[in-house]
Amino acid sequence: MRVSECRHRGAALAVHFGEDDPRTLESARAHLESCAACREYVAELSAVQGALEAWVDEPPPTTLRARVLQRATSAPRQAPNPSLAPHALSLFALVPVMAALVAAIRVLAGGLSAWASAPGSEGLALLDLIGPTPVAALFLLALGGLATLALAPALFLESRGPRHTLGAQP
Amino acid sequence: MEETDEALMAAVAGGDAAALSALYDRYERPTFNLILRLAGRRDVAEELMQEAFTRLWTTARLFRGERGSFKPWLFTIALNLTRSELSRKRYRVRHLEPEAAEELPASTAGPEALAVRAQERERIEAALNRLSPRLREIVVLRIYQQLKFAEIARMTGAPEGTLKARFHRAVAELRVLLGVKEGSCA
Repeated sequence: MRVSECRHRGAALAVHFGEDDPRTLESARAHLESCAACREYVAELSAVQGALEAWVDEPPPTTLRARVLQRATSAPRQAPNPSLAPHALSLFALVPVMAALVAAIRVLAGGLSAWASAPGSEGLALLDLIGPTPVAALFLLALGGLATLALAPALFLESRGPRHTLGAQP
Repeated sequence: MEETDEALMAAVAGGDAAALSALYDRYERPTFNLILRLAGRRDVAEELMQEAFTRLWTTARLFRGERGSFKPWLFTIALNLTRSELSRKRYRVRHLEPEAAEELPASTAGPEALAVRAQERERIEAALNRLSPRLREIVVLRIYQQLKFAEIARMTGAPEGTLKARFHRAVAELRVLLGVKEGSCA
């Protein structure tokens, strides 16, 4: 029988390289004891490997190291992009902002209420209609919206700016 | 104590050029010879070495370093670069230029011994070049780079059984090409 016809040809590889687990190796060795074709194949593998190993490793040129390292470390390395998802910390940072906003609404509403009830003041029709607190909230929201619109171009340009890179190393 | 490859890669990811030099010194020779045996030309091997280590430097932060995982990672970069280069061009190979011969290891003295070795190498190289690229790859990775079939499977994404079948085919062809007698020992 030729080795190519043997279903257990893998056993020859297992024995030759010895890289399988001990159990597989043991059964491979057992197979080889009874299979002359596979024994012959192991000898063939050794012969081919022996012939190939006559081509020994060649030394790289002595100048290659400097060229490789110079070129590699000159290449720009992109830093990880900051995540677009809001960070938990930035959500916590919103708490004092919200508290300040609520306090500002209350102060403004108090002021509006006092102004509307002052003797001789006719007040605003909106104040009479929806009350001082919603009017204060609407006023501050409108103020915030206007501020955002004013800052939007600058924020957009900043987000389009160059990414931070680690740059070339010495 | 010597730092592991993976620790050095973590430093490279942080931009440490000295760590890159240390890794280069460890893997210069095997990586160079891997590319050389696959591509068959020293100038191509030199160019792809630069490309491989540049890629290593720029993508270091993508490396997830379990112990022992660096070598296959680097070899995968080298292998993919070589495949891509070979797919672009067809090389007629004579890798050993005259100036390179001067840099061959000088362990065996004497011009006669060197000439015999150069002849032998040319014969082996010619035989490897007769194999299809996939067969040559498996021979180079298993015999010369001494990677296990399981490691090669992880690197290339090919099933282990397929790799072993390719190896059997390569051995059968090399036996004829190298004139190795059937059943004879080295």
